[in-house]
Amino acid sequence: MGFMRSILVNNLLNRLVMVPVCALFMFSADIMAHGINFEIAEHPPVVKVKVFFSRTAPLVDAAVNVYAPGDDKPYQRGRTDRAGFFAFVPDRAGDWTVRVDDERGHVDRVTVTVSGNFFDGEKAETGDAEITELPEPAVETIAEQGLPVFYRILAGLAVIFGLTGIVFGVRARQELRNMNKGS
Amino acid sequence: MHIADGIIDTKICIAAHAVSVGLVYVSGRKISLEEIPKMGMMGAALFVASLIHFPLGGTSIHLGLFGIAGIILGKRVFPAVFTALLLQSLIFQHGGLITLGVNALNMGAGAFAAWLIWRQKRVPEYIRALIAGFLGIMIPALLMAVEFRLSGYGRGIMYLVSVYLVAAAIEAAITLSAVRLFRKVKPDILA
Repeated sequence: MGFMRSILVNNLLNRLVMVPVCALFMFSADIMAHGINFEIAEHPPVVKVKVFFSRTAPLVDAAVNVYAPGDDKPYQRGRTDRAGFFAFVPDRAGDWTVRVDDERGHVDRVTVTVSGNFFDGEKAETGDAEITELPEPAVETIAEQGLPVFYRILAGLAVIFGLTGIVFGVRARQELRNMNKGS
Repeated sequence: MHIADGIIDTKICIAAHAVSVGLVYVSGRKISLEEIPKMGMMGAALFVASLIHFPLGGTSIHLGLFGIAGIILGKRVFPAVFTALLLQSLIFQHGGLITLGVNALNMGAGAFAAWLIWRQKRVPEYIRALIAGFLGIMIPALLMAVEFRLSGYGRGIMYLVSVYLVAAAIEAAITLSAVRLFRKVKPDILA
């Protein structure tokens, strides 16, 4: 009787454990960097910032502080909308800092470099179509650059296993030396 | 859970770096040959785990595996945590380089607590595994919440910790399933 009950409890326990584990992998957005990411777009006279966790998950209702170049006090405060967007209108050229705090453990900042060209674009009509008329990008777009995520994961794993091999080799050589000394 | 640069005071970050490097040395000293591959494997698992994330109430939470890392590596867990965090910071900018020491101490504390719980052999194994997995996330979350609060961020410690309750519950389930699997296929790996 006790044996049967133990089997039943074990099966139930296994299922209880596996349900959340499977659900986790079903609902995980995708495998990539989890930190806050930014996408900056210029729509003179507005700088639009999209804040997101991955390619698909916007950071909703996060507190945003915008700091003008060389200024410690916020130029503008606000929150991201349901799509993770936030916008501000810079009044001068220079490095603007956008700090985002989701108040749930994620805080990050991004620097938006606004050049003089940006204000030239302000004279043009606003709207996506007009932005292409700017002589060159006025705002640096901070986008994820470099190797794709998969290759970066491989690179990290290669470093870890490489280090493991080196440490193992050094320790094995030490052990061998100690054994030779002993004999 | 990975604190970015510019959040915590630089002096605290430097002190945390010094303590972390000391802990890496102390916990990696006189390591046996058998322990090195385990540390490599767990370091790789920790590095990849935080890349698996899922949305929760407008934010995003991810796996940590600090509980199972503490159970498997015991007192050797800190170098694995430190290396994984260093590479996450360098390759994915997930957590800052200046805050690496603070992050390593937060998450290392979770893994270390998991190991201490796991050593309480009088308690049934499945309870130990659940608590170890749970604390592996909750202790770093609590430490991070206190650090955020002291730096003037976040809505409140209890609010922040409550967000991580879900992640800790999932982590507890994963730790339990991992322990049960290892108990069947390779019981000697459990420290």
